[in-house]
Amino acid sequence: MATDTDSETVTPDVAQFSTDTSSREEALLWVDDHLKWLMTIPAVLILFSLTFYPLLRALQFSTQSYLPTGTVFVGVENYVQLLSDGAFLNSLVVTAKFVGIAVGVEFILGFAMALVLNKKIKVRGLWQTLILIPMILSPTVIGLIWRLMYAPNGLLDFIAAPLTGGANVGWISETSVALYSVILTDIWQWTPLVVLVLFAGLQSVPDDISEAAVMDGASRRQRFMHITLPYLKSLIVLILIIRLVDALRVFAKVFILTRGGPSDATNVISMEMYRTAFRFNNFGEASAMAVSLLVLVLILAMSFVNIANVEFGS
Amino acid sequence: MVTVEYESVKKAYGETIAIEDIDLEVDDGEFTILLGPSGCGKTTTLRCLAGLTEPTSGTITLDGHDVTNVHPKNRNIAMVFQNFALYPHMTVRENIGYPLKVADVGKEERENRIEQVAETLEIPELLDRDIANLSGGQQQRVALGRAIIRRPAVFLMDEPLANLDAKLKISMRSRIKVLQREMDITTLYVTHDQEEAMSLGDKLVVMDKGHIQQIGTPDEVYHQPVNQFVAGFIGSPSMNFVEVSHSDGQIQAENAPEDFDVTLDDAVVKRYSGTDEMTLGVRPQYFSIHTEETANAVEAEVEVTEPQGDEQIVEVAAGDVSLTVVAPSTIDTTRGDTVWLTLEDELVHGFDPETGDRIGDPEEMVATTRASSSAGSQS
Repeated sequence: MATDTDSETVTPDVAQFSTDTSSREEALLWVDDHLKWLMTIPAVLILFSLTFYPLLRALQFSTQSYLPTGTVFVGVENYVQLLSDGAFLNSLVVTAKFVGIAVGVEFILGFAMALVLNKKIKVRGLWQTLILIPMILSPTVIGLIWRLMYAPNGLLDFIAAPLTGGANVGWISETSVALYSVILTDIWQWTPLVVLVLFAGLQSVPDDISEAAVMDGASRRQRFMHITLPYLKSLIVLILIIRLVDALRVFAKVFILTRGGPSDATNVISMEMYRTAFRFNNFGEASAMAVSLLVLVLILAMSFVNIANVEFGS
Repeated sequence: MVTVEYESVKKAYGETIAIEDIDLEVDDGEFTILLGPSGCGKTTTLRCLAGLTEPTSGTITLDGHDVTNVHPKNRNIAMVFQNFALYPHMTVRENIGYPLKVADVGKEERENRIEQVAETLEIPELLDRDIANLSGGQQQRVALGRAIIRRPAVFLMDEPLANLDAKLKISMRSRIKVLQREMDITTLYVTHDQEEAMSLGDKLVVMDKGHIQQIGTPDEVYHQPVNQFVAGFIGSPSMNFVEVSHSDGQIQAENAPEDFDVTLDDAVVKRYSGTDEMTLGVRPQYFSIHTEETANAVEAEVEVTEPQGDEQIVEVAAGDVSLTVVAPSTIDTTRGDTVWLTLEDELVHGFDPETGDRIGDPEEMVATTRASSSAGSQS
């Protein structure tokens, strides 16, 4: 009986409520329904103004030629120009060398260090902290530290003295050495990140799965190939993409250490872009370089994900 | 043909001793259960044999060969883990075939044996599925398949049924038993579930605090527990323990001398002659409950009744002594009722209150065993 009366009284109430809604209430209801979207508007605006606006502007710049009298639309001419621009083509080669060697060494060295850390070594916490120090320094600070070390008669010359017989190597002033010096600095700075990510991955391999492989008769090498690597696959792809993209855009380190010299030996794309834009005031071609670099990075990253056949977040 | 022998095996982690004085022989083809509460060292004992844990001292032999320092992969031992430990990035087929793959068995033979094992475990239709898409029971079978495909000398199982639901547990239990019998492989099996242990094992090894408490057949550990721990751990509901004083067959509970005051049968009294104080152990099944006053009975008040279908568990209090009794469901009693409990006195146990050891040697318990076996089959 009680439930009957309840339902009789409740039903009309609901009907009344829905028909009596004033326009103010309707507006409030609309806000209530769409609140989640409204809340994101500031973030969307900031994201748009910081990311998409400059990107669109760069696209626009790359189709214009800058003259003292103003800008002229030139279509794809800037891009065509790039193909015959010796400095740009050289910067591509320099960047490819830089990225290839730096990321390759960082990955192999980082993986090895992560494997060592993953063993039950003493004072692991201390090693972890020490390893992370280079990563938390700003690129400018790192550039300055290493410039001091690379200076003639500096620390590295002192260390290398037994091999060089005391002669200065010219770490960042010798054309054949400078790029490798910049690469060494990058390796010093970014190997820790690889260690950090892969070490976390190694820690996540469940003990019982490794033990099951031991019981199944797998050798150390087989366990690494069949259990550890597949487990780390998505992290490996992730860290390679992060490092690849970052290395392609390297600027601050080169700027502080060598400014792209000596004689373009360390003139990476970003450096060339900077020079073209701010030294030669050729914003059109610099923007074309920027857009080309963006496309290159996108293609590389996507093909990487595809080759490795990785689904993130699965 | 493989026997396993532990000789005074000990494993310590710094100051903490995980297992000590482990002496154990497992015969060829025997199904041995390591049973005990969590933290008792049963898994450590198993891992020492697997080679995943290195004993601090002592030796482990397989067929007379000392394997204490032999690498796990050279021991020809297979193991099933509690969470199955299947390789998540491989299919069922790859998981089962993995031991053969790393042993460089040819692809054709490998495929044949995978098919065979899948037939045995009734999972041929699952072979090309991903591990992530399997139910717990199916994963369990894959784990078993991966363990048996190599035809190992010894089979180790670490709580393999712990992650399955109750119904599946019982069906997998009988499957494992049949499989073990058919393959005739020496097996060590770890569990904390005494019911599982009793139903599977040829031999039970009851452990507590890193030591073996008793080794025996399921019947022996149930009916002739060597100490109070084994008596309390085996059997469900647990055995009742009452501190009693004893003189000339007269037994009185120390906490309730008036309510718990019974005279034991002469044959039983002999066992406890010369003992003034002891801990009396009575299984809940070996009390008879009466709703009318009965001679030589414990008078008690019913606190709770838990119907279990054809029987009920009745919690009673005799003075300050709480007792658990299993009674037929035909007995009509409820909270607050006064009941009288008689003991099947030849089935009681006496334990030393200090050491917990059983009083009276097994020879004198023979009559008890026979009587209790029949009582056991009745219940």
